[in-house]
Amino acid sequence: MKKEKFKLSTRAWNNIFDISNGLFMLFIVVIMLYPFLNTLAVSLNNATDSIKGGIYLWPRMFTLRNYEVVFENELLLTAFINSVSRTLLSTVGGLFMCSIAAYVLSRQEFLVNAVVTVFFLMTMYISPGLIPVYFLYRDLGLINNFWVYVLPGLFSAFNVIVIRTYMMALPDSLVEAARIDGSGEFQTFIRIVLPLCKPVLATVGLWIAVGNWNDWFSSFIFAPARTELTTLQYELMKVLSSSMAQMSNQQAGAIAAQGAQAFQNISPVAIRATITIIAAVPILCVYPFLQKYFVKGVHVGSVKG
Amino acid sequence: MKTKNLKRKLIRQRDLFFMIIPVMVYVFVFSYLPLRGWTMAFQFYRPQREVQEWVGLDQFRFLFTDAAFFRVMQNTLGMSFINLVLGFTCAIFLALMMNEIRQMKFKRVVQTISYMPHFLSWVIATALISDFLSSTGILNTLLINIGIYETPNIFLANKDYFWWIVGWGNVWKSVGWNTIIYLAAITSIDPQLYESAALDGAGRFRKIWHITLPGIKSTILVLVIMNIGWILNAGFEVQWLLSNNLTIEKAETIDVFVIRYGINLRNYSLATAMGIFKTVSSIILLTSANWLSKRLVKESLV
Amino acid sequence: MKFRKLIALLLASAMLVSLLAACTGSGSGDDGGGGTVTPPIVEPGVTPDPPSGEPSAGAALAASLGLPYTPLSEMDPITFTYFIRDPGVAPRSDNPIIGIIETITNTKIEFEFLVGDLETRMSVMLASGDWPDMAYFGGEARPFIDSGLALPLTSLIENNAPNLRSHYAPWWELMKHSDGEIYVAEIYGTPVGTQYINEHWGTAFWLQKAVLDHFGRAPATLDEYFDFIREYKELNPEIDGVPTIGFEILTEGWRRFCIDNPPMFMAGYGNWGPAAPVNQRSFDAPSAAGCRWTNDWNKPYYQKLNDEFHLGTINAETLTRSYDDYLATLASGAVLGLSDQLWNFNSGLDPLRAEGRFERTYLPLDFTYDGVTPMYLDQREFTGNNGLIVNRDVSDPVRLIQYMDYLIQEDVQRLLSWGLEGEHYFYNDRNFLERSQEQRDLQVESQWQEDNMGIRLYNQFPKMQGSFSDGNATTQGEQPDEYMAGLTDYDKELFAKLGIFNQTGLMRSIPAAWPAFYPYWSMTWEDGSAAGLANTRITDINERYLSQLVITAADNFDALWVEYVSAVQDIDASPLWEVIEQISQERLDAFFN
Repeated sequence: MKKEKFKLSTRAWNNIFDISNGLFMLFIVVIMLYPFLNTLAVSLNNATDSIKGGIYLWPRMFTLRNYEVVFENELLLTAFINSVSRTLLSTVGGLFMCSIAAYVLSRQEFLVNAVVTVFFLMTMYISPGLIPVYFLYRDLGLINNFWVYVLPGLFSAFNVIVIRTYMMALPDSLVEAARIDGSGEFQTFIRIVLPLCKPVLATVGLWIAVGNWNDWFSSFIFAPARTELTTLQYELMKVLSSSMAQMSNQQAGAIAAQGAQAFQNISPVAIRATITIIAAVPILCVYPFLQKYFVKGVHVGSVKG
Repeated sequence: MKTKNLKRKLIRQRDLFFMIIPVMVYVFVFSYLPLRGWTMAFQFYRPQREVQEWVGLDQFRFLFTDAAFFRVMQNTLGMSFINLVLGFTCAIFLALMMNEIRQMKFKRVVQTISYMPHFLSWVIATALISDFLSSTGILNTLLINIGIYETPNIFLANKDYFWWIVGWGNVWKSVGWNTIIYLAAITSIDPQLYESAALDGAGRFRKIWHITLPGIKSTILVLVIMNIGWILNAGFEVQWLLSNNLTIEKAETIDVFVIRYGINLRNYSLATAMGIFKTVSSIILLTSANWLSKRLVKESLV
Repeated sequence: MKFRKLIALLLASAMLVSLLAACTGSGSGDDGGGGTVTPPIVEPGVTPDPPSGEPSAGAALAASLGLPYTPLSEMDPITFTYFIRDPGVAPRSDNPIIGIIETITNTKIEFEFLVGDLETRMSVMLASGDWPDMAYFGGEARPFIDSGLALPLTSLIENNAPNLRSHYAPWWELMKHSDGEIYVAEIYGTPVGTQYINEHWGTAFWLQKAVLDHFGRAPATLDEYFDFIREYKELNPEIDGVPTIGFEILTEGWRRFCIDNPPMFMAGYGNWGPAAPVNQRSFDAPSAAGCRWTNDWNKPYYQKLNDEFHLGTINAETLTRSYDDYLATLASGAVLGLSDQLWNFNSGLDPLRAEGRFERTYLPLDFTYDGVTPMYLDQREFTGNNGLIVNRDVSDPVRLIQYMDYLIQEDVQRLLSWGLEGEHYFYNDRNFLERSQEQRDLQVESQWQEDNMGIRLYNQFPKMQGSFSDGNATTQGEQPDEYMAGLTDYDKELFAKLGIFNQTGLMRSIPAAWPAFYPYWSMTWEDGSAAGLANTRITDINERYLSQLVITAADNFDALWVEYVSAVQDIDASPLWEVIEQISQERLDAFFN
């Protein structure tokens, strides 16, 4: 009797929890979606009109002109190809390097584990400054070279630690079993451990990809002289900064006749919104493919039994 | 006997050495080699000179005796602390709650949407924040309508609010993105644990508290320790964009200080000196956090 | 605040502030309307004759367009790279006018515009020595000269560029660096001929046209200015549904000159910069300069702002606004007054113009304290550092100089600035350059201009500013008739009501001739030096106090003022004043040389 009652209230309690959690998530959805919708609306609104502000969820004066301005760029295709290649190469290379390091460090019996961990960890907190880095890259022949986008950024101590933590949480029995089978370390790593690490690799891969995709600074400092090495973000930054320049160009006195049409049809507010959307869309498209790894998880349980 | 043992171990672990040595060489080249540049901190560096003027610790002396230094240090620590506490609690809480969503589709949608603000630049994000806080913004309208204020409170004009505005702004922009790692960590938890807990009649909260949370404990700890090392990096972009002359006293971080007194005056030596100071402080902080964590929860980075 | 950025902006503004009334009204005694014209300063250079025989493609093109011949037409194609310190758009490869220049000179210029942070990019360029063939750094070329990365141009110009040499003749000595060499090919500070002024783009107190319309006259003093604003605001608490805002003050970043500079102008000074001289009319000896912030004449202005804050004319929110917010606020049409430079807020007025709400745009006023002569109008001033520098490793310096020499010739300048005769302009019956309404409409869009006109080459190389030898303004914007043709009907009516002829009509300032050491803001010091440090410290104090002074309780104002002044006095600024005095003396010496 008593037990029955208890069960019922648990279910009720569960429902209350689910409903309030659902409401909370709705609230999260609203405050997180709003900025994006707002940016989209601004990007679709007349640029001059946008200066006035007060655009919320819907464009006031609809136009595709802002997108046209961005897509007029002669270098956009080159830039896109470069961005995609560097993102792919960096993600694959970065994941490989970080997970190798993580695998070795996840083995606590490894003789020099502590030393190597410290050696890696320190890199997160030392900043040599831009100029010495430039000199290093120049010595390595990386200036104005495509590989400057990929090579220097393959390693990240942060990512190593995150992957290592995940690996250490995996049941030991798996690795032990492999070792008894007599397979070498490298094979154990590739065949057994890596497949089990899909969720964390998806996470870290996303970080590396987003970081590379959004990086315009290396083009700016390390490859400014080579237009064929430009990246999407760098071109987008160019459009943005030139829209700022146009704003002050009017001052150049070229236009005295401030007649009725004498207003620009481009403004940094609108361009910034437009390039944000353009840059974010590819990542929003890739995300669902990775997402299943976070949502579902792996069935480690089965191996244990 | 002992050396023999060691030798045998070395041989057994040679695969591991072969795997890690290339990575270490790489790290040495790209992360440690440029540290040659640290000598700049002890010079009055001028570009294009063969011989530089050595000034010893003058740059450091300038840093630590400057009246502004302690103010910016205070601001940095204050904002970092708020960011750390708010950032971690909110992200963990949100991840746990997301994990409790039973509807798979809804779960995916919420997740995707929650990380979207991460892709907005701070320029756009701060513009939205100041809209929200302005005298005609949503917050003031709401507070006036429910009768808390009679006239709008101009939040951005009050320097006492500034740290909290930055803290919550950071949460809003990055909480969704930060949940991803916890959600990934949750996947490594053995589902059998939940099943047996359910058999024991454990409710939702008890499952969260006794299984999920301990399951991601090491991830949380590792992230906290690493972030403590970064406590002097409170950033500068948000502060730069959100502050104004009325709040600047509470808004300047040491990064802003370096930009103004190092980069903009093209005093590279000062900027380098600050870099060294930050590195040393980070390592001290990291070591202490690591030690503390080892003592208290028997878990640590190294 | 980034003082150097401010310098650059002020420079830009100075370049706009083209002066002297064509249509009277500004009190100038000069004949206006483009009647009589000062003789041209530029002497025609020596133009070599083309070689006999079949002319090259470039020479043939030059001849067909009536442009001078250049030996460059016979040479192999060459490309120079050019870094510009500002963001911008490189001209399209199919730009017709730039194409003409390329064909004639066989020289292609590849522009690199700034994308990210200038200081970061510059520091890498300086340290590594990797930088393009030439660069425009605004007023910041000095570190490149100090570190030996820039090429001396003195003998190059003297031997290879007769036109450029005669263009620079009045400033030749002033252009020399302390080692006696010229490194910077000045672009902006070398005016020629008559300087027309139709519009004021610099510092002023701006008042909404509707307010002027309502009162039918301009306020005479700052007090009356605020009285007008208050009265109009009471009559119109809302403008088109938006609550009326009395007075806006922009304080964001380096744009904080909107709160920093007005008292200097109120006290009758020109746009000097970080310091103000004891006697700004001292022409033969440097007048000791001191920190302008400790002067008594600052206080009344901030006291006035504080009073108006408590009267509700100024809202504290204005002090929190970012630049974008500020422009949006102006675009609402609800702001009655502000103190700013027109180029800084002009784009905020674009939506108003687009909607035809011309009564919500502004006219400039130049108030001063009692009995002080206003000095708001500036002539183009030679700065000595606002130009391009050339890389010491450039492949062919002589060719580069010859190219610049070709561009500075009057016919080429007209091509770059006005375009092609018939296609972009025509000569009217008074022999003045004019654009038809159709041609004018095209110029309105800056993107079209960038793609179709030679404006990029005109802007980025040594150029003629003012008027050509035939009296025509060097740019459309300065041509008086073009200005009049572009006025809206609303403006015409309002101008008639107020009894003025152009936008500057309500200002009383007379363009001043300044001593050779004017202005201080164009002075530079060595990187990492104590002078720069002192300057940054002063900015720090201003940032922390001036806004607070506006909103502090009325009875606290005096105490806070004392605190502020003593904070400024605590800074050891002597290195800054020493540099200013030293450079002042150098400039005077060069001037009298």
